[in-house]
Amino acid sequence: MNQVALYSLTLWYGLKSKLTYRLSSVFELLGKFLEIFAQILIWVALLGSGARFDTTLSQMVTYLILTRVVSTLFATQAGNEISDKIDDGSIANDFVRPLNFKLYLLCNDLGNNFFKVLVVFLPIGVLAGLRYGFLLPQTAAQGAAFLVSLAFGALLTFYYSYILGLLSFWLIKNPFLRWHFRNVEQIFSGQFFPIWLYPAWLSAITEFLPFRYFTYEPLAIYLGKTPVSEIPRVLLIQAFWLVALYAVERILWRRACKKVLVQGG
Amino acid sequence: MKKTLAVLFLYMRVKAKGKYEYRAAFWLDALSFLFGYGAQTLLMVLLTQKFDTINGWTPFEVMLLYAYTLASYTLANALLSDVMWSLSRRIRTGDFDQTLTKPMKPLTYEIVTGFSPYYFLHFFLALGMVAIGVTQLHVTVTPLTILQIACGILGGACVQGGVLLLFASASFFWINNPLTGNFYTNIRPLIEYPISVYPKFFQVLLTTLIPLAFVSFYPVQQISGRQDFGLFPPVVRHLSLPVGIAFLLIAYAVFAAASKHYKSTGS
Repeated sequence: MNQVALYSLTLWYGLKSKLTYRLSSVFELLGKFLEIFAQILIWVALLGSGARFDTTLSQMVTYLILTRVVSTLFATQAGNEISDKIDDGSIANDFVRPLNFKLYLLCNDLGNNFFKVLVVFLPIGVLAGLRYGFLLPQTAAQGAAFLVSLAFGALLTFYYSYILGLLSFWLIKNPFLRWHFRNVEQIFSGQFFPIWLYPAWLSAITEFLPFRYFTYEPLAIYLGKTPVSEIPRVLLIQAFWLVALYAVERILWRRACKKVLVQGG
Repeated sequence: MKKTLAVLFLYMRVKAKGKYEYRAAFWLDALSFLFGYGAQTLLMVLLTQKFDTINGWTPFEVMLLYAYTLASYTLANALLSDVMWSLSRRIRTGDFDQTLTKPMKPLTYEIVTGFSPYYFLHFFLALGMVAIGVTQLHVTVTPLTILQIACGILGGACVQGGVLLLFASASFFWINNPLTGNFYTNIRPLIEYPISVYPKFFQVLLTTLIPLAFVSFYPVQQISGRQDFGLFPPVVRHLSLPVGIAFLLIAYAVFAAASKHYKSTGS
């Protein structure tokens, strides 16, 4: 079986696995619906029918929905999976399997996430869009730039989570560390609310961290908040962070292979 | 009774010591907790300060909502998080059989062996936020105020504990209990903001069927003096503790009845 077919199959099985427990998907839909419903109503209370701080309700609804879609599509359980595999010893099997461990995790997560986006966020997005308005990119070039930026952001998101997972080789028991680094990521990536609404001092801090390039910058391009002249600079910075995270991942993986402590299995 | 309590505390002490076995991980987790929640609070206050109010609620009133939710959540989770998150897996693998062989009620055993000491660090962070909120709102602190805050947080802990128990109870009927995933994590933020922004039917739901409004929205108004009760009379701001206790007792009864449906899968 060639490599493309192998990873495609992994992706497909990742998607199919979500169909096993349908009730879980129903409650996931309900939970996410309530979460987004609450956030939209809070923004309705904040913005009313007009615009404040150069932000309209349609922009915020579009931002909220796309943030959830993007962060869900590219979310990864790599960190938890690696930690669990080290804990029960099954990590030993992954060292001898004839496939790239990182790509396997990526494809498996993509499969799971496609399902969540189709079943959970597409209905919510349609409902919210019909009620409050959903914006499309103003030009085709803007849309194309958004897709390129989104691809970079997706890889950055994956590598970040994967690197946190690799820390499990050293910190054997760190169930909460990744969750709270996730909190930090959400705050500095503008998932809570857009960075263009942050105070100047906080926005300046985010410029030096990679998190705003995960989801915020692609969405800022989509909504036209990033001037066209600035788009090449944003893409270049995303590429820089991607190279940096890739280098960190490679170093950690090489050291982890030497460090691995199989606890049983 | 004294010996029973001594055994229970021994279990909890051993559990806490077990968590401390991995020292670096323990302190990293503890610090990351504080940092994560502290950062979320900061962001929430910045948002409300930018817009001045949310439905009339000022930034530090919203901060009190978050602080009450967090404080009560940490108390409930210190005892019930393991029941909520692990019970479904333990039933599926048959590990719950061990619980039934112990000379104490199953829920008591699950609570003391699932005790999580991390949450007490969050609790102190939440208390700090309450102190900041109370100071910034220029509330006169008297013994009565402290009693009101304590009752509000305890009542909220009972409500959130009741919700966790009810969700965990479904594990005796559903193999892969969907309520013990991220469902509660997704709905808890509903009460970190004033529920008066939601439609009336939702406010009624959060006050009656699933009384999460008694976790923060009503008890905070006892302290802040805000009058925002929607369809309900002002007396609701004083009812956190009695409502919480009643809800917890109902949840316990449901859990006890559900556990009778347990069928071992072997172990």
